[in-house]
Amino acid sequence: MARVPKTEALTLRQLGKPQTGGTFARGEEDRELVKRAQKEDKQAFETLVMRHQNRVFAVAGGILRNREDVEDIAQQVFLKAYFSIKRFDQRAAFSTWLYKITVNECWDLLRKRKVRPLVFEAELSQEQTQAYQASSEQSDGRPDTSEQLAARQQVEELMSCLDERDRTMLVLKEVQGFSVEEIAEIMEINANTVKVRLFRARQKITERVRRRRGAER
Amino acid sequence: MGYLMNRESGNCRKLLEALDALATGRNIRLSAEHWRAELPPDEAEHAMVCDACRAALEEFAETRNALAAMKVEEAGPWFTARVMAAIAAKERED
Repeated sequence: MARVPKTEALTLRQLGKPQTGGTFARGEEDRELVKRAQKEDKQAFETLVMRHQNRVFAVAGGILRNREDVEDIAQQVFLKAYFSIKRFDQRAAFSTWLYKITVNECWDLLRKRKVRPLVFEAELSQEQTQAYQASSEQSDGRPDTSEQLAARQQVEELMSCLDERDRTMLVLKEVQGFSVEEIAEIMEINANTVKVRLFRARQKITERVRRRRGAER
Repeated sequence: MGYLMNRESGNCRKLLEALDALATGRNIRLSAEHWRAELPPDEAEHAMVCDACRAALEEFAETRNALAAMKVEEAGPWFTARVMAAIAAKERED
């Protein structure tokens, strides 16, 4: 069995801060780590990676549908963050800056491919279907069950009525739990616009859910 | 119904804000009635009497339920090491 490499990243204890779970404390710890990373302290940056990697994966996973793409983009995000961290002035939270990079990297990838990211299994060849299912493995390598895959397929179908921007907003809000203000900052739009678009996105999803329910009866 | 966003009613606006502030119940399917009970008392009461707000609450619940099955990606155990190795490689390259 493969062994996880021992990390030399700093623990919170080494940072000399109490291990509190509050957002404010977390933000303060990030600020300190960023300052150290700006002085080329790699351990500090490694700690930042560990603290934020799951959220970056979750955000990218909400926009892209392929596990490999999510991993590649997540790596790209942290590389970009590392090489531009000296220019980051800490006016915004490090997390917001990082998620903004994540969203932009995902959209760039989708734009480069110039294809709709959404594909349904029914439209795929047998070979492509196998590749899709392989990409649907859980992070621990176990494949998803067929029920999980079917449920996710249904979610994808429902979400296909939304454009990429609205989809991203809805996932950030309803799945990832970001606040309207955070989404506005990440996507660089007005908070009221986020509210209106979320409201309309919910309407569209509901309409689809009800239509599907009606068709099943 | 869209018209809820344009309405000047302070109560309708407050209800939408209260809905946006509700915590995400990941992977859990909950009814509109459950979410109504989570709202502050004034907004919960308003949702009972205002058709547009009741519909907004139902849409909120439908959407959350529909998205409950959405997969949330997580980093694998090697990810941090992979990033740090990529940084080192890039630095050597430059």
